[in-house]
Amino acid sequence: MTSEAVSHSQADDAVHVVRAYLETGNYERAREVVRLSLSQDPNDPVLLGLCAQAELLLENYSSAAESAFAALAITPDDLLAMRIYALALDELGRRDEALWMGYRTVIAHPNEPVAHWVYARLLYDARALPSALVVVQEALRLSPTYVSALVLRGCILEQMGRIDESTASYREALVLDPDNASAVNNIAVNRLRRHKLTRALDGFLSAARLDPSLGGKARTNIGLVVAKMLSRIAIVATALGVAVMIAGVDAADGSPTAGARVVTGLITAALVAALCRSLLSVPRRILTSVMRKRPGIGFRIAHAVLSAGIGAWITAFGGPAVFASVGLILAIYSLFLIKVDP
Amino acid sequence: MSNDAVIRELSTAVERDPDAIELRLHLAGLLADQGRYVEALGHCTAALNKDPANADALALLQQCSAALAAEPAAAGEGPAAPKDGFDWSTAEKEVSDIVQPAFVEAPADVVGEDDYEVVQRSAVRLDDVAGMADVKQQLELSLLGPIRNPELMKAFKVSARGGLLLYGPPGCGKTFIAKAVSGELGANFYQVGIADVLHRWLGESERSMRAVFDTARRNTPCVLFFDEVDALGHKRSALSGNSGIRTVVNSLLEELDSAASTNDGVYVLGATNAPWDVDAALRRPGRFDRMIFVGLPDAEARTGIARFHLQDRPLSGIDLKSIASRTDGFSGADLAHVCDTATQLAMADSVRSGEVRPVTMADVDAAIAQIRPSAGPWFETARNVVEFANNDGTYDELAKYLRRRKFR
Repeated sequence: MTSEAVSHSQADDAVHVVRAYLETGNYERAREVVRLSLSQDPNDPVLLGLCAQAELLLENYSSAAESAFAALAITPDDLLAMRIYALALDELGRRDEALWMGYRTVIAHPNEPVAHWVYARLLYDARALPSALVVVQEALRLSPTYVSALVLRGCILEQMGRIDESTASYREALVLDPDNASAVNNIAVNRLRRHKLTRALDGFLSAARLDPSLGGKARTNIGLVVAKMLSRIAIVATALGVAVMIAGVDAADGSPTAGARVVTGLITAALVAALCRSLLSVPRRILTSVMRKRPGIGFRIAHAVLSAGIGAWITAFGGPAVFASVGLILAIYSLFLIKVDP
Repeated sequence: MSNDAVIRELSTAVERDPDAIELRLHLAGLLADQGRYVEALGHCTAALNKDPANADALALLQQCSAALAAEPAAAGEGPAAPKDGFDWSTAEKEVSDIVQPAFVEAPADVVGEDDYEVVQRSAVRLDDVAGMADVKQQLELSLLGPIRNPELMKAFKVSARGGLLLYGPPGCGKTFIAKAVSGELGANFYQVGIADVLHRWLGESERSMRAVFDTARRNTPCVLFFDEVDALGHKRSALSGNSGIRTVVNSLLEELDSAASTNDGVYVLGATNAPWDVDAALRRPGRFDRMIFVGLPDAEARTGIARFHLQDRPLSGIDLKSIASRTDGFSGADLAHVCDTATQLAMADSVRSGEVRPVTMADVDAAIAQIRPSAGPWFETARNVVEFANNDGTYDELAKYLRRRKFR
């Protein structure tokens, strides 16, 4: 075997190992191995393309663009280098160049679904939603089981306000890949838009369980769901404040308070039930972490507990006249909480 | 204008304005291009005195240091004449009696004729692992104790089948611990990574995996150590099938079963930074059914690591306890980086002043100020796993650790 053949064989082995590292998400090691191989053969377009891919996945967009450009200087129609270059340019904020590169990729590789997917993603990022939808449909025509394209189509449809179609697209993706965390998360987002809070919460929890890297996003979304749940409870607390106020006024007038106390009791029971249901639907450790991120949620929980306490007191013992003022303050504060985002 | 003239002009300008770091670095770059590394090094050090975090100065300093280190070897025929006032030969003589050999190796034991390249004898023992009392205790309870007491295992009808998975943040000594386990058992140590197994030809990877286990069986007692198990045994549901990893995972599962049931004396250990990416089938009984968390080094371990990385270098007044107390949150690899940087700073200063001086605490302080702990992103992911994906209690140990260290 000649020395050139040995060198090619080693490069091929390295390419195989790098692809394995990339596929298993070990991008740092992939970059190490590909850089080592590039030191032996700095002009290998395949190694340059893989180096660009590793850099892109490590979010070093400038290095990714440089490596992809170097690969394209040797093999101008290389699919991997073209799409990595387009995506890196997009991340660097050079959107027009990225779109042009994406278009060129589609022209050079019209039968490759991944080329269409990249172009559709770039169009989606540029908010050219109808065009993005056409391109992603072409990707799916070429490969109907292309999960990433199904997820992207769902995102595009969601942005176009076609929520039901979007959810259907995510569901198709989940049929093919039941562990696709992005699809699960995005279905939950659609449910949140439809105000199906409990089911949205389940979706966010499942998505983070499937892909821990989505944890930060899930924490934010769960915080949003809990905040919405507590806003609903604040509506009940407003009604409770009014009932307490009436009971307080009745007590001040010396009128019978039985009717107001019964109503207060019923509203208090509803408030306690809603609060328990909301808090029990989120695991304690996650609720703690969400409250650390959104301290306003803690205040809202405290407000709900305090309201329930006042309601329970009025129901059990009736109230002195001062509860008219307490009820008024409770109602106004609850209205304020409904309006303010935690 | 020739380069010499430019250098002359720049030197004059730098003398006039010693605080102009960019100018000084430009001059240093030109000097380095001309092979005048000692002068360039002097300018780099001066720039670093003004701005210790200057990345260009550090990069140039490393380039010059590397070039100076390579010069005697490249010269080939005897030592080169000392240039520009710094006498390297004298400097070497001055430190020769305090600098110990960098690495020592125990003589290799005899192993199988064909396996001399892959199977080693490990001289490392658990006593050589500084600190980490929890990890040592768990190793003793879950692996070493049962293997050392076969009668007890027989009495309790327990077998030593199954493997042990070490997991934790990168750079915290999982491989070193695996070697120590091998040393404790007096067994051969066989380390396997993905590059040793994965081949591009169909069927070749499976054959390699079988060969790995066959080699281990031939060399019993043997600790078979799989590094980066998250790559070799990645979740199959997350694999596309293009890279051939799926077949490697299948053959690893098959071989682990047979290793456990038909082969005595092969102790399978694995290490991973991402146990949550390991295929669930690999964690079933008889495979990697025990997991031990290897966390960041404790104070005692940090003292030991700093001592190990500084021991071969000229030192003066190094307070290891102070280093340990100020490097909480650093991994072993971070500590090694601190020691290297401190040494580089001392060397740069020696070059600048023309007088060799040992590494002092001031250098270590400067190095600690420059280096940030690298395990942060790992703990972010670990926190997500503990919060969202620990319903079965697999990561309770990690959860306790995160709570103790206030990562949550």
